[in-house]
Amino acid sequence: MPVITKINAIIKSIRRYSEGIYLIEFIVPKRNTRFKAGQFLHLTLDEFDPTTGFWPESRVFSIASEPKQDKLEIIYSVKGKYTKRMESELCEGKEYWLKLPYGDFIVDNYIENESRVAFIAGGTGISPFVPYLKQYLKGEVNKPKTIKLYYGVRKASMIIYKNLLIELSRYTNIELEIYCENTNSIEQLPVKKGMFNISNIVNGIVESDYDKSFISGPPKMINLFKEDLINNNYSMSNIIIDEWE
Amino acid sequence: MGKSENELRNQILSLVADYYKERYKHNSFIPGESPIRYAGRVFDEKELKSLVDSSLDFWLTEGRYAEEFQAEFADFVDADYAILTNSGSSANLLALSSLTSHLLGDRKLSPGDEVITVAAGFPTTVNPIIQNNLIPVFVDVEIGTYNVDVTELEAAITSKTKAIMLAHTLGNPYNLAEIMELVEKHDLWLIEDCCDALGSTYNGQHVGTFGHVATCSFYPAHHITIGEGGMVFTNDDDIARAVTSIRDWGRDCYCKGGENNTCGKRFTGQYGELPVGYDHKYVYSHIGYNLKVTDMQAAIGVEQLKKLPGFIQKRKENYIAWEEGFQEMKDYFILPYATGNSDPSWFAYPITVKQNAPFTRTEITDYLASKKIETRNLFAGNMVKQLAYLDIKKEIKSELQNTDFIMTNTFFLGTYPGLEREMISYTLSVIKDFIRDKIS
Repeated sequence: MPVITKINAIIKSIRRYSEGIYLIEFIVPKRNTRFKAGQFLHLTLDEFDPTTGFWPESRVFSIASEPKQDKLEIIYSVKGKYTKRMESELCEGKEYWLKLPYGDFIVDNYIENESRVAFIAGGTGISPFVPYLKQYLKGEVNKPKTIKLYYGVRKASMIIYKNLLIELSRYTNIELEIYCENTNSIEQLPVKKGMFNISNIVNGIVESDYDKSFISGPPKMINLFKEDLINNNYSMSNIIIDEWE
Repeated sequence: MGKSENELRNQILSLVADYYKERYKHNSFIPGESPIRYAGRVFDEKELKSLVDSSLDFWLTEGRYAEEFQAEFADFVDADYAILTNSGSSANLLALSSLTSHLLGDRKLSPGDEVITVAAGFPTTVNPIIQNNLIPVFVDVEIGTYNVDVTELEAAITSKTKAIMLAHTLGNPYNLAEIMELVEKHDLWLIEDCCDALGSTYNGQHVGTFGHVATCSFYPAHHITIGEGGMVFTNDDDIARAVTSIRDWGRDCYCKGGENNTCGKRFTGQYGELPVGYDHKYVYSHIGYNLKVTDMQAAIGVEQLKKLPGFIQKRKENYIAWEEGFQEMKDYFILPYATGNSDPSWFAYPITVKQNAPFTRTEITDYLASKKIETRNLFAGNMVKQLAYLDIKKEIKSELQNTDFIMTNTFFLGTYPGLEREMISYTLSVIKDFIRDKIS
């Protein structure tokens, strides 16, 4: 991807949600970084010497903040060895190397004005939708006629960007369908208790004939949704997935 | 005790600055003795230090300086993507070729599609059209702006027309308002060749940011230089992806040198008819080449870009100096003028010898050369009359009368920031002497 830049960014804040879910805010000291809503970045915990050119081991995270700011936000959940390192090593005030932007999950590219779109976000998979939704509220991106956001979390405490969701819920053309495994009651938000009901969601999308369906979350979840949509004759070209390992 | 790497590096760079002062001492201009170039490098010790700093990395391909140069360039013109390449000509090739990419779906250019352009220009604005098996359609230009005649352009649009590829001649923007209207009306691609126009604006917006993709050159004659270099810039994600792929051997992978698995799916994808998991580093989705530059060249560019606002201002001042000086010679020359609503960052000062002048263009440019004053013709003159273009498949939509007139009568003088006022004054006095001799 072009104009990929490596940035030495400082962590301004680390916010823990629950059980290993964190939102990290980086301050970008020099120039405003250019990326588009839906793209991702690489973060490395290791030292990097730009004069050598060899980038160390890193991991990818969707960018959860809006473009053209002096900050970058990512959300991660602790799953494997590297994210466990992140949990123990990331520190407010310390500098880390990032490189960005990457990825084709540029949401606005696939949306036409007056179209009807579905976003399916599993857990931290809501990250790539957040900058798009924030820009949508400011009128900075294409305006679909309808947005249906399906968002699934295991616990209420894992809901990220709650204030944004509350704001979105006030719009008549935005519909939220939030699934939470441990409760059916979250203040100011419509919630269904239970896991993502893939079959119901897919039926809903197919029957409502959404122009595009975006899926972001764990690879297994993405594949299940994708297969079910295709099996229900939903066109593959209308399924946009945020796919990286 | 030995010095650290950083101490040694700093010592070397300090010596480079000393070397610059010694080697590149400013020499005073001596009229009649010192040559007056039409263009050239303008730099100080910072470019040399940056170049040496990069060389000490010994990171020979694109690296930290290329990243910085691209990002700063993108910021300067306010484009989302800027992709460095090894020349303005390569940039044009990449820009036009990207529009043949499968990523663009039905809108992509296909063999036989027509691309409107002009013959009064530089060959590598046109060559990519030919090399992609498209048909160049030549229309005439205006004398004075040296840009496309929009009326002729509109008349040349047919059902086969799919794109317009034009350079902002010598830094003078063409009529972007009218051309963008046509682009939108007929759903055409617009490639803006800004190789001679970095810093030119139209309605306050940088040229190159109106069309779909644009190019710039960093050859030493241009607004900034890295020796051999160019840039493609665009706001379109698919075009940017295609340009990068074609520039980088045609590969689908977008890892930088020294990186792996940037996409996160290096061994899990399936492409074309390759087996699942074929190493993404060796998946080729475009017909491409290697058109990259070294980080050392980019290091020069980082420093040159910092000087660019000053360079642009000096070019404008030099243009005004020529304009003032030529006012009393309007009987013999057609003077240039800026396109309406534009603010050119002039590459040069173009003038055309009038039909009834008592001398020819060749006579005056020969005379100036004898006085060590450089001039240049307007590039290829009328390209369709050049050897390389006689037998190509093309359409010529008019007599190209103005183009022929430019071919025979137009030349340009420099406006580059190394040109001082006294050099301009001397040149004007030489021209006046020449004319006086001719009419006496």
